[in-house]
Amino acid sequence: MKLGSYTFEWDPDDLTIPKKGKYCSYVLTYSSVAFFTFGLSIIGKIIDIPWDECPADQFERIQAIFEEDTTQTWYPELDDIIHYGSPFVNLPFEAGAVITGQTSGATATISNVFTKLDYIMLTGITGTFQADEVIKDDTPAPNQKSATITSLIDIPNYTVNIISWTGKYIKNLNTGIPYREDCNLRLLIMAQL
Amino acid sequence: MSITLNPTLQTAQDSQSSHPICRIISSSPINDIPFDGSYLTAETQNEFAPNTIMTSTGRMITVYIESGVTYDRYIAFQYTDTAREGFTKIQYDQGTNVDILSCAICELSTGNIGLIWIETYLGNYRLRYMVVTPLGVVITAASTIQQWATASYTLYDPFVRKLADNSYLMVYGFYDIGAGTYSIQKRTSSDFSIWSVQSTCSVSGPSTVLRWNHPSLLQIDTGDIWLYFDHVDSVSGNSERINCYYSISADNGATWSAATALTNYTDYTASGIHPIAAQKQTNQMHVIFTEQRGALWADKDETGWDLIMSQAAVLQFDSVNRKIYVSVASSNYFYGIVRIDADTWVVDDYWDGATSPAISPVFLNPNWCYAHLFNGSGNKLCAAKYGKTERAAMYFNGEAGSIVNYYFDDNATYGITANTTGLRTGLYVGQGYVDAANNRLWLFCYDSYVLKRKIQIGYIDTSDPGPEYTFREVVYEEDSATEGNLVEMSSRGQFLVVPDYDYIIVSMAHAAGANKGRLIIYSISTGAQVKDYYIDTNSSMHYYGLNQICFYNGVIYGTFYYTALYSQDARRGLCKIDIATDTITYHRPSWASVNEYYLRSLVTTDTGEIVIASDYYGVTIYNPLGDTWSLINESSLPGLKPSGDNKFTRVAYDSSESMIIAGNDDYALAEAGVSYFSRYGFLKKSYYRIGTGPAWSFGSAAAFVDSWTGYNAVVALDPDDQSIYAFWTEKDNTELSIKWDKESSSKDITPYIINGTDVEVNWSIDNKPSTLNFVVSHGHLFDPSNQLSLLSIYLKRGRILTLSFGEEISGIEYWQNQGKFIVIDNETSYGLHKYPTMSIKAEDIRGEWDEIEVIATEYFEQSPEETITDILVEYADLVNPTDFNLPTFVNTVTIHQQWLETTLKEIVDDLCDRFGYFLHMDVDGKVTAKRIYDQNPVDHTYSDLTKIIEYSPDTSFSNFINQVTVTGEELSLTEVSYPEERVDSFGGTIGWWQGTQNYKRYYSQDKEKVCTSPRLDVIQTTASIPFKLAGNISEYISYEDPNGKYCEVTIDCPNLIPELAMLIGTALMAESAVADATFLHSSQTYVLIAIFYILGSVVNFQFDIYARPVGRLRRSIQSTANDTAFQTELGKIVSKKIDHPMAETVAQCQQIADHELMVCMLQRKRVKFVKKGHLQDEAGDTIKIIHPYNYQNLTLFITDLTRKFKKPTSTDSNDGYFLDEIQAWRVT
Repeated sequence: MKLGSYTFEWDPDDLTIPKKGKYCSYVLTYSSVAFFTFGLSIIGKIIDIPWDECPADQFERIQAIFEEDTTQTWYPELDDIIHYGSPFVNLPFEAGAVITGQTSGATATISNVFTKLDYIMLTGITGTFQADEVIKDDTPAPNQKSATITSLIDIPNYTVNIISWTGKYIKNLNTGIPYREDCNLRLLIMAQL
Repeated sequence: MSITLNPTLQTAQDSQSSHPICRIISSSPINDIPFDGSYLTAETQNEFAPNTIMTSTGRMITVYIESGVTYDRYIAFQYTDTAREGFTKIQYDQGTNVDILSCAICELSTGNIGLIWIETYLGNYRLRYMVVTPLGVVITAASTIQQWATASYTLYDPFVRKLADNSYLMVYGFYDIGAGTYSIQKRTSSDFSIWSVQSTCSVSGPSTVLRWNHPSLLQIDTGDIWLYFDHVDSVSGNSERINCYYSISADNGATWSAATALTNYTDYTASGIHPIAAQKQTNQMHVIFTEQRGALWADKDETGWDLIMSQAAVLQFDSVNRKIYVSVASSNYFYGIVRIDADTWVVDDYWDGATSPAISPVFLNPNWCYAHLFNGSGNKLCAAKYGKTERAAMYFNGEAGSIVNYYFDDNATYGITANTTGLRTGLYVGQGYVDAANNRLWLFCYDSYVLKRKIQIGYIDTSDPGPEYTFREVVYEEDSATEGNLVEMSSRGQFLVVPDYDYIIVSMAHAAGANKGRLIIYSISTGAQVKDYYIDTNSSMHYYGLNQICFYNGVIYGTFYYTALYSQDARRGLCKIDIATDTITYHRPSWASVNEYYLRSLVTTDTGEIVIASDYYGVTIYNPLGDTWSLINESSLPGLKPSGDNKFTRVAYDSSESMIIAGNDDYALAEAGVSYFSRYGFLKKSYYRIGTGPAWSFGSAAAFVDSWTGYNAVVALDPDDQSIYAFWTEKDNTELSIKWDKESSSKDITPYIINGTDVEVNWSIDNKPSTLNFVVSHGHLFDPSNQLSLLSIYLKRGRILTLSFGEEISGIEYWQNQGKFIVIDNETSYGLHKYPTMSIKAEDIRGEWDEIEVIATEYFEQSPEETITDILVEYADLVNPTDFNLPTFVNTVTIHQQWLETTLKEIVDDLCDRFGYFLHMDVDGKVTAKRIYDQNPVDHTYSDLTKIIEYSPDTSFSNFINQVTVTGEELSLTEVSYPEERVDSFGGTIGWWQGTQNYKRYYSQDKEKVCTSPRLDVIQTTASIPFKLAGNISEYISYEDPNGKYCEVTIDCPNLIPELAMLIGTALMAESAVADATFLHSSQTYVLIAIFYILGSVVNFQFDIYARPVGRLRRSIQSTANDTAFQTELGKIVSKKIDHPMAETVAQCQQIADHELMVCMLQRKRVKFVKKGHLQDEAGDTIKIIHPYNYQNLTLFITDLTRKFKKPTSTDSNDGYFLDEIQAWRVT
């Protein structure tokens, strides 16, 4: 994970999933309900990125970015994942193979395969895979492997403002190494890149 | 009739679920071009010579020069953010002894910004460059490319472009003093740091011995490079004739085509300079240039000046409406009045004997009227007919477009009857002055004849509606001034009233001869003399007196005719009289050493300077504070007059723009007319022409900025829509500033609307303007006072907001307009730790109509729909037929009506109310009207309660009125006679020699009064003994005028001449025939007694005539409407009476009464409810809903509709909605 030009030494323990939220309301009428949706948006979403512990150096470097008080680019660098379903042909996929979306034409290299949960992790994505499209790897026929995408996770980068950066000062009495506890980086998403 | 929606949108609106969307677009209320502009900064030092570019990232960067205390040493560098919301300024100080002349910029291949500029430094011109980041951080410090000695060379205005091949081309004007040649020089670079040696752009055509300047470059999409420049085509004295040219290079500037003229200024009155171009699209190019001229000029050849003469006898400036009024007269002949719009320099109206209103022929040529002696103020002027008989004066109100004539005597030639009393007989109406603030037309009247020298000064109240007027005497004197003082008051001298000081000033003057001038000040309040400045009693006073005067702060300034006689030879220039000290001093212009400066009319500025017209030297300005003089003439300001002379006799002053209005009323026509020029130099204004390719021809020039103070504009194009951002130098008096503006300055405000706040629009049938309210973020940037923000223009007062609501359906947005609104209020508060939001309030166009005052409309005899249209066209500037969508009113009739002293909105409301309609600005911004009626067809049915959220009855506006009576007047007139009254009284003498006499007696002095049944009442009879002896004496009314305007009274009595002759004969015969002296004596005695009786028969008579005056009245009519059910229920009648000026028949009275009663009844059946918003519904619709408790159908007429859109505060909140809050009348 990266914020601006700084790649975190320790990735966070967990974080708010950067996904769109829905603006909607309802009003009860005398005999029904009126429902209003105002659309989905990720703009304005608050992202909390916590660390139970993080090195003092990382804390100070994030602090420096925080003190710049300027808009930053946040690179979540979360794994791109495709969940797939039937019809399965010649599975399992194999790491290192290149898959191609048969509708979108998007391509990617498989970095990891999790056969029990029917998903693969990808690197080097070009284009945009679509749900419900067939993916095939680059194995020549008749051994070519294929399946159908059921869902995909592709986290883009965002323009963010840092709302807060907090943590506790802790000095390890045994090692003397300073580090920080209960850190939390709170970001406001301004735009999706 | 409700709104017809797109079918898909209609279906979505009918659904329980919806995806409401909202859009608010801000746009300019006027055409963007010509630009009016906003100041870039509030700083007070000079800022000038802007250049601007749009970078590839969307930042706009502008550079200009800022003055320091001593030197123009600073380069100001303004950049915006990539969204172009705000400016940030950086300043580069080039140090002492540096004067920067001009700076240019371009974006480099690296994304950085390159600057080049020309400066003077210690006797050298230096061409320099510098590289900075888009945020202004210096990458490469200022470096000199080359320098030249100012004694040998001159450099002008550089310009630089990055070409398509990523190289850089620089051009600048260059003058080799030794060789005497001018040129455009160029340099190239591949990296913006190493520049080629200069070489001449070889452009054939313009002469190289005259100046080439202001080069600029544009590489169009074909790759051709266009070089624009200006060139001095010819020189005459101090005047230059300059035109703009262009040349094209197809090889990156290596070779150039022959120059082609862009402008065609053919004389020395104006020039075209500083061309610069931008390409918005293929085969189209905007070229902006500056027109420079000494003055604007108007005379009888100007369009709209429809008088045969150009002489400006009086010049007045209406500073409120920025109009110039010219009384056109030559000596004793008056031709009319012309009005010029100072901002557009268009003669926008004139008045003479054929206009409406017309100037009475009494005042116009060939009758005599010395118009130059009658002064006013602003848009109020006056004039008077010259002579001792048939005297008349005229009051002209330019703002109201009205003329009132005051006739002091009957005028048989024109069939005019006197209408103004109070002016003494035998006096000339010599001079006049309008005191506009106090509604007074002051007149100076006099008779200079040696044996009866008289002065009468008084005023007429111009607010008196007439038709009879009174001249109220304030001063009357005999022999206070000599014949010699007064004799030329019909041709020179000046009459001036100063209410603030209680002064009436009469300045009597002479040009030559032995007569002496004089200046007398009277008190307005007492009429007594306050001061008398006369050489016989005050040797400091000029012998000839003061010809023209002005008054400022207790001091009179006056011009006079020079004479070396009478020990006046040392008195030259301007005379100054300090009234407090009676000190009289003379002030000689410093710009020439002559005796006669030909100073004429003079006027004060708001700061107390005196602007004086010279009939030989131009216009001079005297500053009493430093006793300093300045002169504006053809030498200092070429193009001051087309004739090239410097002759001005009249002057006025535009303080807000520091502009001088000067004219000449000399006989010589070539010198006559009006000049409008700046006291601070040339008028400059940017214009533009649109070129069309690929053969490239240019359209006519149009104004690029809206005033003669904005010039040398530069432009950059918005990358989103190719609209123009413009920057220019603005000259405010002596200060130079930078202004900016944007074409197509419409902006979508929607992204700034704050979640969790209402966008609320309200419509009502109560004639109030519809309103729009909402709140936006970025209040600090929308703040109109934030000059560093590019958003500051979008929500300032007067901007047009177009509101649309709609639905997003399957990813497609369907919109329905909701109307156009004008921003009337914006509120932002800045607080620590508080984000600055801005609350916006806007109204539809009717909000403006409430502030548009209408003095008097024409008398309308047409339908209400036509009348509304005509009135809105005239007063609201709705000139486009598509602005209207008025229905034909039910029960429409011809109305007969004129409105006086009201507002535009009241007129329109009157008309709509009369016919039971309300004016409505529809969702597309058109003027329409909807009928207020309880039987309108149902527009929209809600057949269930699924959309209804709240419901409650509301009788808060109800009352007990159950009867309405409307009274009107018939259009036709009915003749009526009034009780008898005395209408005339007359008397006379009748003698023995006259016999029967007839007397024609009118019933009124104006011979217009109509009477019937005249009766003679004899107060003193004509009967005498001889008449009685002769019998047949009678006095009676012998004739009645069939038109009822007069009768004839006849006195029948004998003519006693025969009886007298007989008696004389008898006496003579008796003397010759009878010898008895006693008898003779006795008979002669009797005859003589009879003769004496006859000779004594000369008697007075006195009669009164009584008659019944006849009048013509409009018969009153009325009709009543009753709510009998409510009367019964209430047990009494509660009546409302209405006098309606537009009810002309009983039927019309009934219609109005029915409507008014219907409204009263419906107010008792008012309800309020809230429902899911539906874009089909609007105020004035009739809708049907279900009662939430008894489920009965309710038919409702919507009187108020407030539509609210709110996006939830957050994804976690449930506070969003799209609702209609309705107030309505239950009609069934």
